[in-house]
Amino acid sequence: MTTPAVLQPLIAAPRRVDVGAVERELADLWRAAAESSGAEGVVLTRARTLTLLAYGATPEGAARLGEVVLQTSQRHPARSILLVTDPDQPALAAEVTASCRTVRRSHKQICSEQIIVRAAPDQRDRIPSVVRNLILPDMPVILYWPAPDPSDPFFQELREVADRVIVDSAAFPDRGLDALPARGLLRDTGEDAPLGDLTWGRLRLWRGLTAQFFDPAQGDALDRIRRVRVAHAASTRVQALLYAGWLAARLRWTVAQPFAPGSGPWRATLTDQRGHAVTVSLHLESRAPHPAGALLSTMIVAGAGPGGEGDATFSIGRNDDAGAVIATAEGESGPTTRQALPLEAQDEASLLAVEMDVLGRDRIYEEALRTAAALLGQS
Amino acid sequence: METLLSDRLREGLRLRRHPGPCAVVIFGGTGDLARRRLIPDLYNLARKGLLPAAFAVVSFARRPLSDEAFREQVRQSVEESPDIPFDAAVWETFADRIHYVQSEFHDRAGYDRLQAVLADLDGRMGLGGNHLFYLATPPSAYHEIINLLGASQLAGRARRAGDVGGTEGWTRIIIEKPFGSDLETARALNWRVGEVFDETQVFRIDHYLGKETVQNLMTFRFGNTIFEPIWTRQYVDHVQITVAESGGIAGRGGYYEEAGVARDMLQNHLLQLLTLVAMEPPTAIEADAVRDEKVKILHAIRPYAAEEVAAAAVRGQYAHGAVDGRQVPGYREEERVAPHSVTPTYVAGRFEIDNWRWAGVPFYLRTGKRLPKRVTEIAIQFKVPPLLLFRQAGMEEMEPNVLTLNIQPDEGISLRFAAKVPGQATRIRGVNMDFNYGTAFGVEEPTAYERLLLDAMVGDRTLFARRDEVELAWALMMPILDAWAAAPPSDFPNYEAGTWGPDAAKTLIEGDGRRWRRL
Repeated sequence: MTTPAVLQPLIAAPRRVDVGAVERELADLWRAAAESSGAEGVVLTRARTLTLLAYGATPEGAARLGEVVLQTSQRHPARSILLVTDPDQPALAAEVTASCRTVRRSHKQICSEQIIVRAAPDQRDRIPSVVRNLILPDMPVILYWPAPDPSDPFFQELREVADRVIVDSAAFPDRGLDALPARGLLRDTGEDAPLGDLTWGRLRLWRGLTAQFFDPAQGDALDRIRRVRVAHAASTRVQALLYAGWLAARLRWTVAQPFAPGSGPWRATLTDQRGHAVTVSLHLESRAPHPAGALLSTMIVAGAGPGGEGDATFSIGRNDDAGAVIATAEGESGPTTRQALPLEAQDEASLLAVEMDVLGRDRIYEEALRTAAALLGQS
Repeated sequence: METLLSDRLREGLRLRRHPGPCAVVIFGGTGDLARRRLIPDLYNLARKGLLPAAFAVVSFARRPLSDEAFREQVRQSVEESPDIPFDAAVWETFADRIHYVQSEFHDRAGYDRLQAVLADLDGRMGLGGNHLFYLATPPSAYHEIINLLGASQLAGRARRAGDVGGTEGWTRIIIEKPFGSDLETARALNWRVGEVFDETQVFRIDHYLGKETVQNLMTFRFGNTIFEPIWTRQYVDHVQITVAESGGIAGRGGYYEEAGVARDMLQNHLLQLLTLVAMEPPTAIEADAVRDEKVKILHAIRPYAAEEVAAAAVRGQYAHGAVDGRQVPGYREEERVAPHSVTPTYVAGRFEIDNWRWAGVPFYLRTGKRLPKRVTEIAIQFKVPPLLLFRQAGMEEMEPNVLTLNIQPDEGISLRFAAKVPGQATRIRGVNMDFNYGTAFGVEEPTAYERLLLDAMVGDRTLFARRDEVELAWALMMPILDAWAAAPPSDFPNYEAGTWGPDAAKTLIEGDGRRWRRL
């Protein structure tokens, strides 16, 4: 998020209430807050642009998720409903609270409300009916569940309520060549809530810089790409795979030879629209501590052209010392450019907030995911 | 096919539009506007990744500076910009793309040097021969710069026609206000510009139009079905447009003595806002479709007859007083202001639009310096309900609904309506329903200049003034300026700094049975 602000709880501690009394308790909370703020000369505004559902399978996981969800309210004032499976919970219970941020240079406070629904593991199936009762009428509903099991009926039921489901591909366990469980969430029928992915957001800067290389002055080089090299940090290949899948899908390359298992770099061969071979390789590098699976560098090499154009190299590198990503285009005969952009905030809350900007289907992501799966030999 | 593929890479990146390779050449690049606003905003666009990889800034100015010395000056400005985060790595690659050409504006040789620099940058960086000239100089330099851009064949018409070495690419020019100081000088400037550039190359900038709320005005009106049907004389009683500034003339006494408030604000900012509020729905949100509708409104505004000016337009000048708890000098005590100056610093006027939609609905416009606060807003005041149903509540009249579009400092929209106070008795009170940009969208807004610079780079002229627009606005100003020149005020200064203007402004609107909004 661009303007981090301090969030302050509206009340000292969440209020425990019966699940049937949540709305009434919230109304009381807002009435009391309006009265006290008026006396203090503060203008309090309850803002709600959507309902955000988030699920934590454990109380600890849910507590962390609660913080993430809370931070997104700075960009997307929402009613957030945190769903928790809690073995210490006898049945089903709820808590309500609210948090506010002060608008810069004013006496205004913008507040969002949070509801926590706790269920004993054997009571989890009751949660969806509670959710249906608490979502804001006629407002978008977003479900954030970092790594769901697509076959879990509980997930499926929540997905039916949501207008969009956001996952984090990098949060699924890395399973080698079966490394894209998010692909399983993409159904071809288009009936389910569209899918978003925090890992897709992690690539935004890299995709933008890659696209910038090929502004019209260098546009013809796209037809001459022969090699793509992607280096990534340890733990997961998902970012690198999605980047390669995105590039291949956008440039309409088809997979001729998918990645094969092995201990060294992964290599695949694709075919461009003119029938030329393009080699794509993924390299695990451990130069310094980096976020799991983060892209470290990319290099796109274009061959000589029929019009006398020389080889050209388009490189992007992560420079942690400078806190920047640096993009360089160099050609034997063509122009040279170099530009740096600051490394974007890639914490979970920032990525989720950006992903929540989109409410419909993200066709580009879906195509990238499908092509990345094809690179793994999956359909 | 190449273009198609490069466009495919752009898909889904959630950028509105992306400019292609280009150089921005700023005439007056060491001046206040360039150092404090334009170059920091260009840097900020670079920081956000909104500039193309192949991009250069060339400053053309009189001071003898090297590239390095100029970069250092600009770096300081960027670092001092309160709203722009400084990033050393971004700055390093941005600074590499800043260049400096030292020249007098009237020196032809300087333009030849500029041409050589641009040719070199085109070759090294692949700028595609795309050049955007920005006139950020005093207006007195416009004519000679435009002449020499034409004479040195930098202006583009010849280049576009392929007459100079077959170079392809576009050339555009941004011209800062004021576009002339009266109708005659505006026409002369436009004629000069037209001699050298096609109108399609010309971007007359009024930074007010780059503000989010001003753009949102069109979305609000034409993207919702519920407001446009009541946006007529049948429902609207009157409209108030206020551009209030708490500041003074900020050391610009020399300019302000010549310009005064009507030329500085009314002819451009306020009339632009008026046209956006009053225009008919355009056939598309495209440059000429929108500007055609704005021009129709300017045609429909009833010009003042000379004898009407005194009753319909009020002028004022501030005396010393207190603003925000601080004592401030009167206008005549400001630097480079004549001790007996009759330059107005405040204007309020009533404008009538003679068309089917607005006949009989007055538009009250006011703007001034050293008013109590800095605020810009457009308020649409609706008629009161036709029948008073709540007499038993002790009400003799209902409060009108007011729709307010706040442009600064807090951008947003507010609707005032009547509501019953809870309880047994029928008591009615006006309440505000507020939409605030900062509340609903917690995202960083681009500055007006960032938006407009990008628009010019992509060639979108929707938010820039067209030649006929500028001349029509001046034509509406001339009766006021002429009448004021013919009858210098005898009561200046006539309002105290920190107040809402002269008493005559109050009389102007209260004489119509209305009152200024208390802001």
